[in-house]
Amino acid sequence: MLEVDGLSKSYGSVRAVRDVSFTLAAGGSLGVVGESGSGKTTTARIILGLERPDAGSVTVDGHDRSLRLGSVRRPDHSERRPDRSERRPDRSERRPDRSVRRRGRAERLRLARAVQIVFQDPFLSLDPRLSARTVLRETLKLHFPDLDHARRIAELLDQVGLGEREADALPRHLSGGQRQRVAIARALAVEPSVLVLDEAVAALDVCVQAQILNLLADLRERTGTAFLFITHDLGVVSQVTDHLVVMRQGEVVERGTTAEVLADPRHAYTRLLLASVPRPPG
Amino acid sequence: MSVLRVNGLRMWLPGTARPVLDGVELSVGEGETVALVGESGSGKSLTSRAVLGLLPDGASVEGGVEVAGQDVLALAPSRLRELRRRTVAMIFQDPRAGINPLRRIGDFLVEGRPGSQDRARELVAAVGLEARVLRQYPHQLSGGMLQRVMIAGALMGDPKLLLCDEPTTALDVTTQAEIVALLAEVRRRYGTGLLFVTHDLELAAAIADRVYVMYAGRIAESGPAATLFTRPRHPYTAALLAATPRVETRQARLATIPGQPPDLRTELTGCAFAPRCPRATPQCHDDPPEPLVYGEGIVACHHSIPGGERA
Ligand SMILES: Nc1ncnc2c1ncn2[C@@H]1O[C@H](COP(=O)(O)OP(=O)(O)OP(=O)(O)O)[C@@H](O)[C@H]1O
Ligand SMILES: Nc1ncnc2c1ncn2[C@@H]1O[C@H](COP(=O)(O)OP(=O)(O)OP(=O)(O)O)[C@@H](O)[C@H]1O
Ligand SMILES: [Mg+2]
Ligand SMILES: [Mg+2]
Repeated sequence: MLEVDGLSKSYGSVRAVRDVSFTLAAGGSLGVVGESGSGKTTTARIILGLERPDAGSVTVDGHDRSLRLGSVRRPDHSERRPDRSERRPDRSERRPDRSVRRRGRAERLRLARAVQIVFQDPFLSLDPRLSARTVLRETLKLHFPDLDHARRIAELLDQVGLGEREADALPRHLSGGQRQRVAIARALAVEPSVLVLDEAVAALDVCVQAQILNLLADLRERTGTAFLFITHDLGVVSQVTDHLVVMRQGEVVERGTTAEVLADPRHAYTRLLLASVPRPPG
Repeated sequence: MSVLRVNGLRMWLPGTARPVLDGVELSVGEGETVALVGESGSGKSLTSRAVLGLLPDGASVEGGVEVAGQDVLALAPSRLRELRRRTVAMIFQDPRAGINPLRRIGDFLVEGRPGSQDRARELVAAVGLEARVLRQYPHQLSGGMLQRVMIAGALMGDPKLLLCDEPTTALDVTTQAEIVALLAEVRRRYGTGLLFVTHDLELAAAIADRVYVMYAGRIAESGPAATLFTRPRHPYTAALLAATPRVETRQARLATIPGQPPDLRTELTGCAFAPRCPRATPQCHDDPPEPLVYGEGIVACHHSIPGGERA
């Protein structure tokens, strides 16, 4: 499903990602944990095609995604903060390269929606002028023109626990957790093969978080959607992932099944991570 | 002495049928760490922003917010700015939303504080960042690094009260542990009071002296951190604890609370949690529960869990 092979990326002298490889099978769930600045988000952005690796490749459903980057190269400073329109799910549609154009519209859309991401700061990834309902309607219209949109929208809103009032409110009139759920609903709307969640459930209270984690587990079982969970919450990791990758200073320092790594951490950094889980004194 | 006192704070927003904050009572003592936890959308961020005198467009408020003895809601804009510069500082949930993307980190830190370059350098080191970040732009830093910058920025004016809205949500656990230790040190050294908004109950239990649990704009329960999470009295607190994923055990499904929090466009007749509460009786749907004092805690529930064992 998703194959990441030998990714590297530097920013000047900072080696953000160094030779990172992992695979994610259909219906699989992989956790990525690691210290702040260890290259987790950079890896995710490369997978999404928002950033070009210095070396390595990303293959999704057998298609090499690095092809999609084409020859357009943006100036360095804009890479980290793409303008808002580019963060919409249809961005690949507007900048097709030749090999992609040949595949035709349906195929392009299929590729565009194969991988979706929910970022850690939804404030920046949501269009400030659009309510949740409008975002979902536009997304569905693009990808599934023949569907009964009203019904699907109601279903999505219900799944992420947003009510009627929140559905029609603009992002700045929503709480942090509500905005995060709009971003999650939008990603789910296109039924991706791989969903990348970059600290996407951290801003949710535990009840909503539990609701969404259960929903994702159902999706995995029902549709074979694969998940890449970037998170610092080892409780979440232990609940919802089967495999785990531990990153430090751009490198993978430990990997294995989640149960093994958590029960018997080999690398000193993984041990430190486990020891740092907050526990009440005494 | 309290650095923060919130008395019966009510807030109405346009197009809603009930107050979004409904009689919030809360205090933070000098050098005390207080956690505010609760459901997404319950009003935690609105409460902490109101402490800075920041209200959403069209909001009307009732009740009092006192910071170091000054009534924030009645202050003239110039006095309010002064208060925000010196007495109270805030770290927001979204670090990127609170920083100008076009300014270097170093300029951001010393903004409005001429001659404070040394202090900026010291604080950047204190939050565990290399001095190089002073010359960098926000987009060049990871989420966690940027949140450390925001914390350094908040400490620039030696505030008496620090409001932290999920400051560690975007941080890995080791960084989180460092930041928490840093905040504890700040509190010890300067007697800073801390109001800590978080979803992480374990974190709240680990760092706070006292905890307030909020649901639908009301305080459901408050008490010492040491007992609130081991012996919750409010069924909502108990449900929150049950839904927390643990590292040690894997459940087939996480416990959740059925239903959704009440819509702001409907009025509440009784307890806000009643429709989702396993202990609710007809009384709960009709009369809002008054806060009851027990020991060092307060609970607003007609059928609070006796002795506070888990539901
Ligand atoms: N556009 C950029 N320019 C310069 N440096 C960058 C850029 N983007 C990322 N970096 C650097 O690359 C490193 C990895 O950053 P990344 O955002 O991938 O970390 P992360 O693991 O997601 O951290 P966090 O948990 O804090 O979000 C950091 O040192 C960061 O400063
Ligand atoms: N500017 C605004 N205009 C209108 N409604 C708002 C505004 N800001 C917040 N709200 C609404 O007020 C309620 C409380 O919001 P608040 O941001 O305080 O929640 P919160 O407890 O911080 O939630 P979270 O944990 O998700 O951040 C929410 O239902 C939200 O939709
Ligand atoms: Mg990141
Ligand atoms: Mg909030």
